[in-house]
Amino acid sequence: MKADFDTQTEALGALLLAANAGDAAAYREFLLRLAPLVRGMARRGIRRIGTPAADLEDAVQETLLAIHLKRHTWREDQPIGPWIAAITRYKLIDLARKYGRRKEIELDENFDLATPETEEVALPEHEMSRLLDCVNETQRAIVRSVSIKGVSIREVASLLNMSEGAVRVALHRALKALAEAYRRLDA
Amino acid sequence: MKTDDFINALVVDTEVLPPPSGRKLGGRVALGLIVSLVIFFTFLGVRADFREALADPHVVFKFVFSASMFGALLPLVVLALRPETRLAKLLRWFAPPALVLGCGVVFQLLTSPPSYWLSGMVGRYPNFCVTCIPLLAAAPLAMLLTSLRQGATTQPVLAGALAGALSGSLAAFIYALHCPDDSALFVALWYSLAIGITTLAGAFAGDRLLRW
Repeated sequence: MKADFDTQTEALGALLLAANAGDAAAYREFLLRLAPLVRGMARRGIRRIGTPAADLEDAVQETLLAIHLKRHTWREDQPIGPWIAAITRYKLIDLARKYGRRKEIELDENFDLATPETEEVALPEHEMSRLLDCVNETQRAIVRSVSIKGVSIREVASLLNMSEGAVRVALHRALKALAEAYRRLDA
Repeated sequence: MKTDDFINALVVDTEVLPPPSGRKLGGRVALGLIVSLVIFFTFLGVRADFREALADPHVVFKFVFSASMFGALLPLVVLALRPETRLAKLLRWFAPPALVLGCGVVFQLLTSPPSYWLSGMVGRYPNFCVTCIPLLAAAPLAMLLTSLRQGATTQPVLAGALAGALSGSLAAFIYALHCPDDSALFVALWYSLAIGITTLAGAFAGDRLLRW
């Protein structure tokens, strides 16, 4: 079990290392492998703080977003498991605060391999969609195009009559704004 | 939005910031220090009898205390850049400067008559001391908070408080160049109070600025 855990986090570390050096395929693989682990942790956290289970997938997405925006703070000479766990815990505390629960969330420092969840819970309307109302129209269009429709930056650029650089900047700003909006959101 | 779709958006956002480092943080603190020194030399200046005063261990103690505080806290603030750091577990690093302070106080009590204890503690310029140290701490604190924002602390209030204490100890060191109150009891009371103020200011700022 322990060996499994080490292999898995080592693989994540190698992927993020490549991703931070500019390898987009490695980064996608990193996020796809990360999501089930975060979901497992978030499930346990949500059970412990007693917030509605409907918040699960939002918590997962917010944690992925936080990890994305802070991915430069992982040091390659440090194990990646505790780094991911710390950010997940931090985002769950945000969630607990939203419901006025201030109790310390006790989560393991590492992942519990028994709990990764690959199945995403389908819900009609996620908070992330609601949060998209907080960003401006162009940003919203960009986020929707590159996520749901899977359109490339270049195509979005020509579609919106913007330069690719401008689209990238707008996308980055939109993601930061989403993280900010989630932090300030009340239940 | 489905999580797999959301991941698409993250993958195409390719901007990766440079990693935060202790060296960069140190560089910023040095910049803040320069600002504080300019303020210091413009409005305060080194005490007239500085050279002779350095022969007095009570004067040297002021520098030893603030330097020990700075030395103990700097690594903690650097560690606070990273999300997995549990700062609460590291607060034992306050012990060495506290010990230095304790030794200084004992030394003072042993080397001066009881009649001098109270007057030495109250000193001549307590208000000035408690005002100047936080003012001299402002620039380094701002620089530290800037650095911490580029990191990812998961304890914003505590990290801010440590940054406040660190900049307070730096400011105390500078103020000691001017300070004419030489009793260790004065340091124990007023320097600590001043650093306490910068610590509170840091905690307050951390609560506002270091969340992400």
